[in-house]
Amino acid sequence: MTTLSELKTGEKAKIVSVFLPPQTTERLRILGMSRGKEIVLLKRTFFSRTYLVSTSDGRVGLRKKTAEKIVLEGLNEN
Amino acid sequence: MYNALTGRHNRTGNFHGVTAAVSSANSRVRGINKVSDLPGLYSLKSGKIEEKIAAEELRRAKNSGAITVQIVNALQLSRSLPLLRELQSFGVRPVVAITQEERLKKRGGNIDLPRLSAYLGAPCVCVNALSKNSVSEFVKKLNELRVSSQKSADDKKSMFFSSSQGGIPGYEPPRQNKKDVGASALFSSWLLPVFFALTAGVFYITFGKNSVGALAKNGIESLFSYFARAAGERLQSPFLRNVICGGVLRGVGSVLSFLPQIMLLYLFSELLEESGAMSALSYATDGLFSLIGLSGRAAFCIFLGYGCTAAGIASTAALENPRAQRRAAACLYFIPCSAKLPVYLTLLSSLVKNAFLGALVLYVLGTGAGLAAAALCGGKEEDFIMEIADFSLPSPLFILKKLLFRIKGFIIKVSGSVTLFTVTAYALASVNFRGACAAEESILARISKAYSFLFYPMGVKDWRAAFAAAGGFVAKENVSGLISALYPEGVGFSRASAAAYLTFIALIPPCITAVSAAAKELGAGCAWKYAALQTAVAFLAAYTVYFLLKGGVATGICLSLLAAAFAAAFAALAVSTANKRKNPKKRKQAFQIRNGLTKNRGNAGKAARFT
Repeated sequence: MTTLSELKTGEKAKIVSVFLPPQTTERLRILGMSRGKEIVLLKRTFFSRTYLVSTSDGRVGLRKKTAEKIVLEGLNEN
Repeated sequence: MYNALTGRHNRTGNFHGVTAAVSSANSRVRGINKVSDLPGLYSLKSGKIEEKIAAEELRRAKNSGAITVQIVNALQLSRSLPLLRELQSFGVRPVVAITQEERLKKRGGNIDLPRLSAYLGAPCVCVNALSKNSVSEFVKKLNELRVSSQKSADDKKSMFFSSSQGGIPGYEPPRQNKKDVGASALFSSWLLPVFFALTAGVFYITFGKNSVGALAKNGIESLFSYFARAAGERLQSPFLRNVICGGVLRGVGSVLSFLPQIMLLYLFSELLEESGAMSALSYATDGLFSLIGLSGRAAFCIFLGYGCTAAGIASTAALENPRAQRRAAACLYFIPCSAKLPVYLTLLSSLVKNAFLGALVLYVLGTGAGLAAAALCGGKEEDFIMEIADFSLPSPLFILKKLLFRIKGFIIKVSGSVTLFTVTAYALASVNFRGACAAEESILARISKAYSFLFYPMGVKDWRAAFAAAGGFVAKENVSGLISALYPEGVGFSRASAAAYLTFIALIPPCITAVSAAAKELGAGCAWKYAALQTAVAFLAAYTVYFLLKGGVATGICLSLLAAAFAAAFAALAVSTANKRKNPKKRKQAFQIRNGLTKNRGNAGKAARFT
């Protein structure tokens, strides 16, 4: 188990839980990032402050402090 | 779809939050009376301002018996289903209009309408908003559905559908393509530098010496000079000759001559927006924006602000919360809009050899001041979670249509308010109560002399410059129009005064349209306070520049420090009073007024349609 902030670029993983306030969790759910969904970390930018994640629906940009609260289960690397 | 039904030209965009207010218009398609366009959203529960506005409108629609249509992208159908569920549980029985079906089919997906409608418990229709036939077919179906739904009003069948973990019956999603490899390259750390280089390149093509833009501008100017001369030969009365040749033809002509350059800038901005590059830029710039307490979402607002401050401020409604809005608006007040450009170039051309470089410096000054203003606003910094759109080549025809629309708007604005203002100003500058007279004794001179003392510390003693600067409050284009009209022989400032005056123009508040947009978003008190503060900062900065250039480094530094101290004191005062909404009832009231949740809707919709 790891968090999104510790994931390596190109790695795929499945979301286990999200430790964020309800509004943020809802927002992430709409964008395809909720429990059981698979995501791939595409890129980090600007000293790893902003992350680019690929979901089944499209791509999402988010910050490190949000990424730290998303717990993942690693799958085989891409 | 809204534009197709009403014949309007509302802004649309890939970028989340472009439609940040409710627009309503009468339909031009038979069978429908009125159409209201709600802000784009995926949920009514995630607490964004636009969702509250939409919820209020939906409630109204339900009570008035209007049909609600949910526009859904065929490529991302599953994303829209939670909202459908929410709407149904709300008691609204929406019709689902599915767009982009052709693109879905191209990527291997498919839709079985009857099956999908049965599963969702809502009638589904495929429609292509860009095709007139498709839209009229859609309206026909809507009317059929309205008739049939009135018949089945007693149908108590549950409108919910259970969420299925597998797929959606009747919907085959598109293939997942391997484009994510390309994404890594596209979103690399080269994105920002490439963007800046591209922007610099566009600036050069537009404003550089002998560039396309500069040549076009000179062409139009020569044309209007010719008209002015021709008119001058035919007019008898010296007063009419002054007003028409000087005021109308030279003044308005000088503003119209900037049309090619402004259109080149708009073309660049439209391409960025329509190709999906703006969301990529938001992602790339989020790190930078986080340093001043904003997020990458503000990138779009700021970018719009370079075109038109009012449009930029109106788009801040899409930001996370009122605090972010205030910060972005403070920044936008300083960001130079495209209307400031004619002013810069008019003043620069008679003073420096390289107008392009000069304009660049002023743009950097405005941008820097804007970022500083945002950073100075107190409060928690914003978070960033955003969908990054796919890149796609925009349709050239679509871009052309949007550009033509903007050209039309610019010309109307110039030929309307700017002409009126310039002509009135010119007329007032040629008469006083005793009849026709020299400019220095005119009515206009008297009014302007009353406050022109404020310009003395920048070495500008001419009332005309003071008046021209004030004219910028109505519309920034007025400044260059007035300068051309009131100074037919050229401006003739000293180097230091010119630099100071330019600094002043670069930092003064935006036009009244922008301040009104800000009043709508932030409340009138905040909007005007920022404007007053900004004027003070502009004067102080201009004085500093003048003293620095005239008195040498030591004097300059001492006076700059003094000016900075004053400015900081003002800033602290304004920010603390703006943030001081201690009374919760008042805060709630202010929030409601700001977000159109009371009867007073005001200009939010109009401002959003500004460009």
